[in-house]
Amino acid sequence: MIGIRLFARTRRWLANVVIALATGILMLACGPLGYGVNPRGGYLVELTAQLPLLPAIAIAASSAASARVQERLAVRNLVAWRLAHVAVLSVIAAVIAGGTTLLLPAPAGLPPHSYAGLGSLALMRNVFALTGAALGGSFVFGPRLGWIVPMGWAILPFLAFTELTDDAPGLATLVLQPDDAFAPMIFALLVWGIGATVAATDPRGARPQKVSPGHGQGVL
Amino acid sequence: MRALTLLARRSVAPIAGLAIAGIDVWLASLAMTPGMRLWADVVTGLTSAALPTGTLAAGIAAFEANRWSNANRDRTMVGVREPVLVRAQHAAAVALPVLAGYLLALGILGVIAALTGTYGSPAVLWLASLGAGLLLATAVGYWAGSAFGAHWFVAPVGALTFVVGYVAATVGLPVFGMRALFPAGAAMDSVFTRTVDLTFLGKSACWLGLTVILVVTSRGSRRPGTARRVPTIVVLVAGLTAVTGGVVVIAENGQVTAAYNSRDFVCENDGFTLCLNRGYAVAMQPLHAAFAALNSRVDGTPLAAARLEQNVEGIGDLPARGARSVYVERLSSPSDIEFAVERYVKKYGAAPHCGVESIGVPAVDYVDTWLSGADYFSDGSPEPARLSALKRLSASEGNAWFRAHASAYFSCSLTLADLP
Repeated sequence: MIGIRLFARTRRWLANVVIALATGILMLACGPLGYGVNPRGGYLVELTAQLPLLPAIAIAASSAASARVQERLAVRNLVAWRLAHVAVLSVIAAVIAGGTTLLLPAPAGLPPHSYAGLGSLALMRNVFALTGAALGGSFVFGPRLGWIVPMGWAILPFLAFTELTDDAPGLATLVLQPDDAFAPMIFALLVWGIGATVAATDPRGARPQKVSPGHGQGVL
Repeated sequence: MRALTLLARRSVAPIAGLAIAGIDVWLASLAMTPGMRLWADVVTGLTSAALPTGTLAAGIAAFEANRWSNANRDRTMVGVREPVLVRAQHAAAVALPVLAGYLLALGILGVIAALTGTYGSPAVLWLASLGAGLLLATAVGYWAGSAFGAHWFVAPVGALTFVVGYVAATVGLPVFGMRALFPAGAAMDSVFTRTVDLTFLGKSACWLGLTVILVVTSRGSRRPGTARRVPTIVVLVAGLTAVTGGVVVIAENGQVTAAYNSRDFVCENDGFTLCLNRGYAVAMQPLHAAFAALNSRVDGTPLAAARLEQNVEGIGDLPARGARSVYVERLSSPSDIEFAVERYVKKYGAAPHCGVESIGVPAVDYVDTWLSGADYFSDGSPEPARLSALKRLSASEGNAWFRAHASAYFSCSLTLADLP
């Protein structure tokens, strides 16, 4: 029990909960607000759909251990604890994002891919998908550059597709898919599962940033 | 220069530069009008790529600035050189690979354009302003990265700053000229426009000025016992440049293109004259055939085409005397040609005489559909029997019928009973 408490104290719970709550407030503030991304496309991207980027990136970026050496040398297997850590934070962020939409009136008369289709399930799915992508990105690029993957996922497809229907499976444009889109939901959970697993089982632990002793040598 | 290279090689900026080149080339390729090869589309694609590339540049710069300043704080404090110069040198080492990535993309696209015979020429000032925007994005990230200590959130905040700025500028600023001051935005270049050079000069000046200010005011270490020194003259000159550029952009209301037809036509004379812009010459054969078919039905009536010039609908749609406009934007399927003919028929046929009521005159609608060769229902539903009867007429029968009913058609008094 002491081990769990000590482990928990090395993680940034408060910051992540605050960011998740702030995201919920922003969702309430933005409502159905959308903005144009693709000049060749005739659709708007709902800001609310992309806001789960904030908790997702925060979870991945803050998952770096503050006691890296101890974790790397620990006798105890920390995989389950690390997995539980990202799972708990993901669920908190998803519940806040999903719960927020229950407070929002869905505007009537909007087309299927607009805000009316983005209910609780869709936003919770977005949290899991983007968090999984961020954790996977952290595994590949390091915790401080893990944001590249989810941000690319949340922005690039909308520049590539002139119509949302061009993405038939709805995986690239996942964040704008409606509640009842089955394949995106499965894909989101799969991405989260892979991301959380590689983040938890990373044999290097939460890798420290490489700062070579002679960084910048010869220019001062 | 050697120091810059050394610093750049120790950073992730070169990899980011390659990623930026890849994103630019990819999005520019996607922006191509189906069936055409136009430089204007390349510029449009590069413009839309400014959001992801700017975000990447800002995030990477924040990461590098944060990492470098934390690792070299003590060394900078006791170094011989002025800290602001050292910091500016590092900022340049981060920005150069980013800019090189953009230039690499331009080079690749230029080679592809040369090999594929892409029409037109790139809008140089437009492309230069995109480079200036990328530098500003890098500077914003660099400033954010140096403003905080070694915290986990610094690099993501640098990237998010750019995205949040884009959203805020897009939905939050009421004046278009102010929106245009953000270094990423949705704008389209076209063969049938000319660029407003002053706007791009203003943008470039504004963004380069802001870049310099952000770099020299980025927080860095100072020597013990001395105040933090900022080169006032540099800041003043850069500030003046930025303000002047910003004022120019706002005065121009951020307008980047104006309607313009270069009339760089290639024409085909065969019964009638069809002139298309050279970039759209690939559409000549199918479009000429479609209008020949139309002429065979409407010969001897005011709807017959004698000289057609490609144009764009709306502002600037001014064909030469005696000519009529034809609109074709893409060539990916036969329906694009049908759509061009349909728009001609709608513009020069009965519809303008019927006013807003044209949609309530089914007979005119049927005739327009028959003449344009389009399907009445795009979803494949069975077409009306009267329309089918029209479509069954041979060219000579159709022409005879249309000539007999031309006055009723143009006066919008055609009824279903008049149809065969």
